[in-house]
Amino acid sequence: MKPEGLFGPRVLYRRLLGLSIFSAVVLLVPVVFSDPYDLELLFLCHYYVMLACSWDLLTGFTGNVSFGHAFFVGGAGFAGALLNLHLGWGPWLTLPIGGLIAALCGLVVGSFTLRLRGPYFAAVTFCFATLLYKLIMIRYEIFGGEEGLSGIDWLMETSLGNYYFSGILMLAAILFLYLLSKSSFGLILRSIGENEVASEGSGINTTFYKIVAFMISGFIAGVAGAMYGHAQMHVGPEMAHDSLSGLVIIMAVVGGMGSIIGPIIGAYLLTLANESLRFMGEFRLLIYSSAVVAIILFAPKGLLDIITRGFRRIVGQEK
Amino acid sequence: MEAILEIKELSKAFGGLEALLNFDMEVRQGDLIGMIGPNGAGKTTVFNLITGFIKPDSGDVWLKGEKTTYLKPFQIVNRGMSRTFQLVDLFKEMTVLENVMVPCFSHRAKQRRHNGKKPWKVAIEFLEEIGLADRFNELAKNLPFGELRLLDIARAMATEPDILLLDEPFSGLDVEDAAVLSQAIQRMHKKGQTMIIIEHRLGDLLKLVESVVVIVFGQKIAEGTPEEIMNNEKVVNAYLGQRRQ
Amino acid sequence: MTTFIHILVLGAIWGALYTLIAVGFTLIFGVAGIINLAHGAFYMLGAYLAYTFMTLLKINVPLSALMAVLGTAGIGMLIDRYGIRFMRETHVYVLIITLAFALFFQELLYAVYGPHGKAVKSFVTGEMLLGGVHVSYQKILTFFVAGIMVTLLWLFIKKTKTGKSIDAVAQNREAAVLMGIQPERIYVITMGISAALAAVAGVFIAPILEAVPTMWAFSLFKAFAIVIIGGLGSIQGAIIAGMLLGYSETAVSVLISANYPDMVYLVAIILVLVLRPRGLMGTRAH
Repeated sequence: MKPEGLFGPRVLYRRLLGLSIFSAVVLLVPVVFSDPYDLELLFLCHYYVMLACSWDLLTGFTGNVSFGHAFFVGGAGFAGALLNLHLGWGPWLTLPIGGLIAALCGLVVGSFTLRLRGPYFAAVTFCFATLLYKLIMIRYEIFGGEEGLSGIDWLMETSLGNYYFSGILMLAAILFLYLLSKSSFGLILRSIGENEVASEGSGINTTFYKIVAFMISGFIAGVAGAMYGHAQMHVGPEMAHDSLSGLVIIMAVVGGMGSIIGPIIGAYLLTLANESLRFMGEFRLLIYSSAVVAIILFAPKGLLDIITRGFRRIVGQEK
Repeated sequence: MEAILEIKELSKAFGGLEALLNFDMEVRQGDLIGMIGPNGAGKTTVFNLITGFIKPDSGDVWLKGEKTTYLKPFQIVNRGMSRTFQLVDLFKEMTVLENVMVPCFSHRAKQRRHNGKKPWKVAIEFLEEIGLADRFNELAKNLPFGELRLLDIARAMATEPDILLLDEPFSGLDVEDAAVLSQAIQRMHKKGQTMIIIEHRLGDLLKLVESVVVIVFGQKIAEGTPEEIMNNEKVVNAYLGQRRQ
Repeated sequence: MTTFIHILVLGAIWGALYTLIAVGFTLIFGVAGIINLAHGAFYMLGAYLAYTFMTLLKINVPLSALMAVLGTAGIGMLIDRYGIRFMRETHVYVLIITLAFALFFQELLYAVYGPHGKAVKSFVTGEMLLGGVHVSYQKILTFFVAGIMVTLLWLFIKKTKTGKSIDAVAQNREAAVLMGIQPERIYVITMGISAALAAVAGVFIAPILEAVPTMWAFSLFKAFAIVIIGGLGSIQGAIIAGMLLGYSETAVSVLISANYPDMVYLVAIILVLVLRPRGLMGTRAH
């Protein structure tokens, strides 16, 4: 007798095999699509995957919807940009430091939201991100206001370099988050989301786990934010804007939250769809947002759920 | 023998209403104690206070010689006292096995697992003990109510407590389920598990326990063997009298 | 002195408008337990429908206003019936689907009317001098309409049969069901009323501020802030917090800088929730 799913090694290996195939595809894509325009678009995909997956660790598992992921992205993006502009530190330093600063932000937001749930949690996370946004606008002599900060060192010299740099970072983040979600850490986070009282009554220091989840989520989003700043050679207030937080939520939900894998699908799909609908002109965003509403209405558990069920039906495993 | 749990003059008021007043109690290793009283008498308040879910206004709790009065719930669990909940809520979207695995990752359970046994194997053992092992892969929300109660007990047991507190384990159970639960409690008692059981279904409880504490209006009015309690005039007046209303 | 009167008058007008937006938001939370992130979109729809009827179709003001409000209420009811009902108990889902609807309306109005502001002619022209401060009649009208709408809501809930049913569901859904009230019907009606109140605010704001496709976000944040400070589900709390926010924002923008009013509510939310996790006048737990 052996439990299926979770801690059964065979299933884990099969999933890891899936991830390695995905990694191989990511690494081989430039062989086919070498146009800088395509590579820039795929760079965006990598960036959004990192944001959506790190958001998922926090919200998909503990069930508290964070509306402030942009706090980490913008915070680390601007911190990295300032360090680069004033101290001349390169990406090899600003990325990890940006991540650490975002983790620190996670510690702060996590401590402020410890006792909060549902709408209250959402409101406070939102406020932190919006405060940062307002700060950027008001203290324009430091943060550049609406125009942001330009003239940041590039990440890599070519689009291909940016592609590989972001791709490898993304794969590392996915692997880390995935293994984490399948470990006791993920199990405990889920138990907190289901019933925090019972989790604490089972001897779990829920405060510690919630804060650590916040810090890890912040770290990955922060690294992504700093990376984005270097790749664009520019950071702007939109990196701290609530529409970025909203976009990340929608990507994760469309893909399927609580799975780490789902948000990957959501981030790729929505980033590519947003671009490929460009021929529709001014109706692009309308079609895009109607599709999002339709997906959430008809597949509330996300596309991953639909794909898994479809796959099971084909293989004949449907119960 | 020295008491492993000592409760001294514990008091708690909720906005002027005395939920518990100067409550004393001692529990020794291996005891099986019943705690009875009418609804709202303060039984669950006792549990909430000693497990750290509510902070007392005054008084102290000593667990194995250590003062635990103002510790957090998870710290008290890790010092050896676990409870079940009156409204079993558990981790509904998780499997039966996962429900019992959560406490296996508590500090206490990890420390006690020196031989490097896999957590899921430990969890399966606790499920076997309570008779739920064959349903390990079922989602908790799909379990019938009686099995949910058993699962909650297995969850609490998986923290390997010195004292197990059961909050109304029989309520909502039919006769068959109640019998299964009684047997499980007796098995645990024979293994030397110390337990306190809150109940207001007296029939099931008095057959099980060795001693009974009666709480009425936040105060302990009697303590003794089930026979003594049944013949205690104060108890009959206060408790049974009120039930007749 | 003029500064003081300026704060007093403008603070009251904005406070009343915020309150009008926030009472609907708090009402649907109190009754159905949902955080409706599309609430700001109802306010926006009110403004755009008013523009459509009044400026484009040249229909008279009262009829246009009525149609804008009823149309928005209808959309709100449809969203509740077909978007929210089947997943009402999942809070995460409700937050996200309503956010998606808000974004959808933003893009819809953007596609139809473009990104530029759409102005509506004032319902009443002219202005008056209040203690040395010029206030347009439109603003004064808005203030009184907001007051009347909130009073009407109050009377509706306390005096009519449907209103009492709504109140009963908000107080105790199980008991209401035992009394023969169908909660799903009540939810749809409440969503309609909530949307209508937001739409009224939108209709009357259209001549003061131009209608733009992103106006939903700003009003939603204000409503959220008010309701958090006043306590989710509490109408009295929303009135008090709404006026409070109107005054404090006006005071900050007049006395300190026009940059800072938004900081007021952001910091207020964080402080209130950290100190009192259920809001200042918090009601039932969810």
